Amino acid sequence: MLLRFEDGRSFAQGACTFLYHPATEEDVTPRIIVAVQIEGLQTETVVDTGGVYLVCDPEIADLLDVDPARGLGIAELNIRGIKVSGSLHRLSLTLLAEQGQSLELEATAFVPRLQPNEPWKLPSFMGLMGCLERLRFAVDPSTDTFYFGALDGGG
Amino acid sequence: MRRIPQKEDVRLQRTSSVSVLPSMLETRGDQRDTLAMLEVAADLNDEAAFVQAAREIDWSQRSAADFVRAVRLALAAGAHLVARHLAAQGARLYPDHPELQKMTHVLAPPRVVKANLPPVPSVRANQDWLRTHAGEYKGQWVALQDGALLAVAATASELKAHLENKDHILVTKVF
Repeated sequence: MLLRFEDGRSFAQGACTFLYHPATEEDVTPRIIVAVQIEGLQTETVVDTGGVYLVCDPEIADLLDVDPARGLGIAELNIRGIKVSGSLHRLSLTLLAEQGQSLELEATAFVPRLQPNEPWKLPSFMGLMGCLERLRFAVDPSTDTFYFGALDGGG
Repeated sequence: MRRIPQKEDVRLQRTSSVSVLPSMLETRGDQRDTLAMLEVAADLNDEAAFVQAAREIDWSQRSAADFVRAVRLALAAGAHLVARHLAAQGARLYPDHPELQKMTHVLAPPRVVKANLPPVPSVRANQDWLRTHAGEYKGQWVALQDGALLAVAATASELKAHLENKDHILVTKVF
């Protein structure tokens, strides 16, 4: 059952179940983790309303052949208090619905640049600004359901 | 010789009244110094000081190169909204400047492209697999299709070598 306003308009066009567990080996706080497609590749991302942009795991970016030269040079982003160098891109992000309709958006994505053999210990994150800020979304913790919708009904 | 703003200047703005900043800038009377102030704020990772300093600049008189520099500094300072606004303002003033146009495009608010795409029922099956088997594959990359494990590898690039194509396949690291 998707969410609606009192007048019958849709609040959410799609809904999916989410995983709820710590997002890294060191993390102890559970995170909301949903399935998405980044540039057509299905993967998992953490919903991070305290963050900015879509922070794309560099290994995923590598699979997608995201070319740093086509992005905004080297920008620095503060991730959990640490300045990380990388490039900013405009990427396609699709929230995958199990019920209702999936939703594709263009978002600002940050791809960290690692030193050779430096591991990336975080997953991909969907932040608020630059990524989720133009969507409606809601969480039902009793069913682990993540609802999402476009502000104007979409597309 | 003009004095370049120091980190202490930025700290001063935050600990005293914010109205001090405009008078400091008027005294200097040098637009270059105001960009240097942005640089100091970015170096300090001080978003509030950056926003305050950016507000005091008459951007209508700045060059395209200044906009590009200021956008980069805003990103470094964590002033992401300022970066977006400066990029857009710079692109309006300099519509033929490719770097500013690119910055505006990349930093623009997210935009819904399609909201009527079909659902993907396999999402639940893949998540069920992850709930059940995550403990066995922690730290590894897995490829799943319709709730079944297709391949496992230490890195995403190794995993890619096992996959003929990536359509309808979930690729993720297991945490």
